[in-house]
Amino acid sequence: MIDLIIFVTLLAIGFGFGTLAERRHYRSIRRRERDYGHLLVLTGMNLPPAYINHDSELVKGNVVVSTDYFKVVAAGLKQLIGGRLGMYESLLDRGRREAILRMQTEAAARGAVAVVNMKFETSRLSGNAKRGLGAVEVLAYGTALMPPR
Amino acid sequence: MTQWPSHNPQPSEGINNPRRSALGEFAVLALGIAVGAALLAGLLALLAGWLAPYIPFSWEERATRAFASDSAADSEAETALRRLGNRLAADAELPEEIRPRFHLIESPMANAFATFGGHIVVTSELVRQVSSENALSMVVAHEIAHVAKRHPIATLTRTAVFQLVWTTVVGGGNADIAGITGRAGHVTGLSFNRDMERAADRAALATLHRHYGHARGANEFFKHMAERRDETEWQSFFASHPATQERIAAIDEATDGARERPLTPLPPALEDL
Repeated sequence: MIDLIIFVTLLAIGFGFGTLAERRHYRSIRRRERDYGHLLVLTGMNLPPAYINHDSELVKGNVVVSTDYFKVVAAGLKQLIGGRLGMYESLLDRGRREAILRMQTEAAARGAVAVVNMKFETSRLSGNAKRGLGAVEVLAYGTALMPPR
Repeated sequence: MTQWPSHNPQPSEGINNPRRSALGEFAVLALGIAVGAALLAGLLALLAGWLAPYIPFSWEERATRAFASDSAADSEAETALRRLGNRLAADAELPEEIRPRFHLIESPMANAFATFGGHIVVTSELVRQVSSENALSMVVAHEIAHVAKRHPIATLTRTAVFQLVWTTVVGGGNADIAGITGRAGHVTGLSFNRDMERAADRAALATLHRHYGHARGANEFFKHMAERRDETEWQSFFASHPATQERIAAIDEATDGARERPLTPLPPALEDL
């Protein structure tokens, strides 16, 4: 009986704080995306003629995001019958956008005007088999173009 | 050469991070899975329970050979019990391959149970509390009937199948869920249900009639249990033997109208316990 109470409490905490954290994170993400709108991020390798002589440097941004207890349990149940895991989708979406923003922050610190050839890397941290997805690291890296001195 | 954009696009919401009610989805899932798993496990367990008695009795015997062999009885009392048990078994119309074995164990709790391999255990306290051989015979014949009808193996199979299916379906994904639901799905093993008890009672009464010619004194033990004020013993007895009042009534009905027949006294070795 006590086990059940602890379990439900953990679920409630996970759900409550998890939802709160997610909303706050999204608000911050949208705000910064607006702020960094001018710092172009592209995945191609083509350079416009104007940037041919620009300096280039590697920039990267990485973030580790984790699920909350509620998500893990709910996803575990969902995996029984299959289908889309919506809760993990939003988690990874946040991770990717955050990684891009951090990369842009580093690029802006170096005075870059654009980042080209951007790539993603996602790897799973912690999270053993029993507990499902524990934490995920998303890495975004690319070539920053700075105007020559 | 494509046009170089001047600005990053603002990502559209709701495409990669869909709006959904996590709590609602979870509630529906949890309920649905719990009900589904319970139904499936219950169905399979019932089926297994019906098929279990077809497991050969010799397999049960082989499996329990290590536990309490038939060799030297611990005391005169155990020998007397064995003799009584074998006499009753002869009158119980048992199938050929079923041979019950009797054991007397020292215990402050009055109880008797039948387990695998035809092993029947009676506690010394139970023998102390009965005043006639008829009462003891009712208990022993009742346990013999459980063995004859293969109730132990049926109960175990039902329990095992239920727990197996339940934990596989529900507890596989998450260690915490497995821990909790494991406990929820746990059915106390080896507790016979009411139908089994009633069937065993009927068979036991028939055995007593064949052996003594009457069934008087049969429910002395059960009446005694029902009257006891001692909490722990009363509770433990009632936990493993449901519907005692019912059974007393049924036995009374069976002995109704029997003339005043004398009760057989306990053999001296058991009387002295």
